[in-house]
Amino acid sequence: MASEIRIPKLGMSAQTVVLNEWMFGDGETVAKGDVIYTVETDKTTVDIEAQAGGVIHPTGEEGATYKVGDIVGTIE
Amino acid sequence: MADIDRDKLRDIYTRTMKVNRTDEKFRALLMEGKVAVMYYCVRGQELVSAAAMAALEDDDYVVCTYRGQGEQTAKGIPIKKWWGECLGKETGTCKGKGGTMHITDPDTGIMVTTGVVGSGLPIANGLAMASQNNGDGRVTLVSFGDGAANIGGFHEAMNMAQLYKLPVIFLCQNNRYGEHTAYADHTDSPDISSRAAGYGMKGIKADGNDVNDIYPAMVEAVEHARSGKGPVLVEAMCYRMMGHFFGADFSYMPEEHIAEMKAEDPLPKLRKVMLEHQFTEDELDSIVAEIDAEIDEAVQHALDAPLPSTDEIYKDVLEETA
Repeated sequence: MASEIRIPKLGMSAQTVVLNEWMFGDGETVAKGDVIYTVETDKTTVDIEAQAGGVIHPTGEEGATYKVGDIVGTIE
Repeated sequence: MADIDRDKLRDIYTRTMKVNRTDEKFRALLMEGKVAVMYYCVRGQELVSAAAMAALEDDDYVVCTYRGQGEQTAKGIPIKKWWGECLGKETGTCKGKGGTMHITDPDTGIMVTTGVVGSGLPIANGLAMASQNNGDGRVTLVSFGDGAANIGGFHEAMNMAQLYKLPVIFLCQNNRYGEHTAYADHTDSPDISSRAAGYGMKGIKADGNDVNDIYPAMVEAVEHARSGKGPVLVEAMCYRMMGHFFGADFSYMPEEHIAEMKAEDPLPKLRKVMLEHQFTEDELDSIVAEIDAEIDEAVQHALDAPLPSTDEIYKDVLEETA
């Protein structure tokens, strides 16, 4: 079953973030705990770790702004 | 100091791991974006909360802060109600209207969770004064951080509690950071516990990463307060192993500090003590597995639960008039 990768809430006021960089390409295998992408809030850059292992399919675009809860990929 | 007996050690271990596994689960849910709420991580402070709650009776009162997951779960809030509240659902302790910052569950003695630094201490005095007047034998424990020890309410509450010999325990969890500011940058006194002397109060400083130090200290404090001798200020030295809140940068922590806190991590230290007391790895693992299963079920229950209906908005908030 695929698990969705959603933009996390990273602070009281953070409503949107910029997706900085994907660490894995489409179809690559990730392990739980791997940093899969980084985001930039108005305050800092945060590493986002995979919460499940599997094959990753990023759909979010690097450099684009996303809202908290937006789906930016899946892991299956 | 007499050894902590095996039953009590098992109790403390179970409470500690409950706090830890809840913290891990919460961070995982936040990281994958499944849950979008404010959460203040308690990694590194699990043992302090567990030892403190294990030293209390079930009907004693607790006042905690937004970083209160440890006190709340270790005191025994029904876990489904806890997760329900954190996720803002009608199954929560406050029907989803309090959220993570305002968990309240009088049935288990979690009387107030405050979002304002240092505001819990005067509230704890009020609860302790009620117990003193009613003669119900309860003590009240209020938990706060090192930053809160510089708030005016801290000094006012300490003075008043000692004056009236209130049955209250002031538990300062000195995790070395007041939000994003290091202890040395907000306080010049070498410790917080010695301030007790200024009020004529009993003060105890304990290692919050060592069960053999923090648990006896908490028992001593609780006995003192319950016996009518008055309040106690306990300073539990510990580390906050994450940022101020989930998602907060903590690259400001110096490398030496990070190395020190990793070496003092209370979880491997507690596990070592358990093994020394002839608990087996399997026994300890099965305690954790049981907790994980309970948490997974509670999280799913909360995710599936409805949000409070709009009819509920003003209920329990404003006085209803005819």
